Amino acid sequence: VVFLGVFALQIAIPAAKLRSGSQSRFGWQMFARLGSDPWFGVRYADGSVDTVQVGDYLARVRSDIDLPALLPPHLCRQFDEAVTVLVRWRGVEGRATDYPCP
Amino acid sequence: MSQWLGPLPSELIPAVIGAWGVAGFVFLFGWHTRTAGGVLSLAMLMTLLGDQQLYSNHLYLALTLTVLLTVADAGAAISLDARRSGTRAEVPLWPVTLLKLQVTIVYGFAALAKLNLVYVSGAVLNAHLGWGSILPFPDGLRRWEVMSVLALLSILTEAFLAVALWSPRLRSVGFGLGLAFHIAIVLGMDPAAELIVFSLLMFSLYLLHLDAPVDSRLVIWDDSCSFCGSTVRCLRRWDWLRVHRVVGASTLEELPAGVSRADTIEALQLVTPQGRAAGFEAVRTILEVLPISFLWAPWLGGRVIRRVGARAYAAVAIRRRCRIVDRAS
Repeated sequence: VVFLGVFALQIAIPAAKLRSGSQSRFGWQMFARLGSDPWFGVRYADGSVDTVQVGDYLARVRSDIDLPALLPPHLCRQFDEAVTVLVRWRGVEGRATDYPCP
Repeated sequence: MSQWLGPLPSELIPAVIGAWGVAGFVFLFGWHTRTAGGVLSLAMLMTLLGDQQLYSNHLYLALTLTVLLTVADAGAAISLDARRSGTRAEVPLWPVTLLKLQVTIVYGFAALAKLNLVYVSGAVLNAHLGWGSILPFPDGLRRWEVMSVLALLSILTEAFLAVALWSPRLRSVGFGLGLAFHIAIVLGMDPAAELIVFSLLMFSLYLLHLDAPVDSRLVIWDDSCSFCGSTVRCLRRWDWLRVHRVVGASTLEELPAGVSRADTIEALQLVTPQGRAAGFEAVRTILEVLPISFLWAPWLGGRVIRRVGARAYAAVAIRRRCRIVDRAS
């Protein structure tokens, strides 16, 4: 029973991940797809913008992590004077997210 | 960053890292193997689930293998536990089977995940191959036709490896191809250190696919020869799976069918359930089941290498110094 249970999990999890269409964890999808690789910046009150080196704030840049949702709050804390965190997708015109810092 | 288990208290992090290191060493040497395996698994699990950015397929694989090895009683032999309380001849079959299946699962799903247009076009390989790696990729070859062919080859290789290790006919090819494949990955992609760990983890699973029952092979050597004695000592040292029964020709009252006294003096003799081999062929066949050589030994099976090997063996055999008292018999 334990054998069948573990084996079923070993098969079912990566099989389910195959349907996701993007890189995802627990799916054994090593080097199978390209990540979206967003660009991050911070805008200050005077309108100036600094590019953020994402690698400085992450142990590992993985495309399966929803960085546009998770990273901006952290960047707001790191850049005291930032009023907005900017997120842009390379090569995708018009797709942008601005996260206002509290 | 987003946590799955909730934030790990910062004061706990050195303890987790320390426990990981100590348990890793203790597990490696097989001392209190089950306890060490449990602690090691827990440290890996906390790291894996503690923060999304710490996930890696390599860590996930290491965790899976550690859990299964712990359940499979990996300290039953070739361990400090076995030295302390004796070797156990049997371990549970089901975790060992799951470990063997893990090869198929990893390669199989890796191949299936690559069946997408972006990968087959070569774009993914172009983005990863030769950038920051040990070996650079020639710029002149960085064309979609080349990348696409390499992409297809990588998919076929992974698909082949997923099934080949289960087939007695293809297993040896699988070992040799798997070694070449992982060497190419380590040399051509970044990060090399993580890919080395991944490769070693996979190779440890290959070993379980070796069809090498204890004492299933008979090696007959010329025990009047000191040079042969040193070779046999090496064999005994490296035959961790105890596959070979090594006997001096003079100690055998009756030789196996098809082997004469003259044969044993002329060359090393190997008798397996599949047949008999002598000289270089015997050495090559022996190397195919030793843990230190089973991955590269299949490459010795090429026609040219066999011919050169046979000549080299004959040249050494004719010049060996004999009739010196041997300590290996």
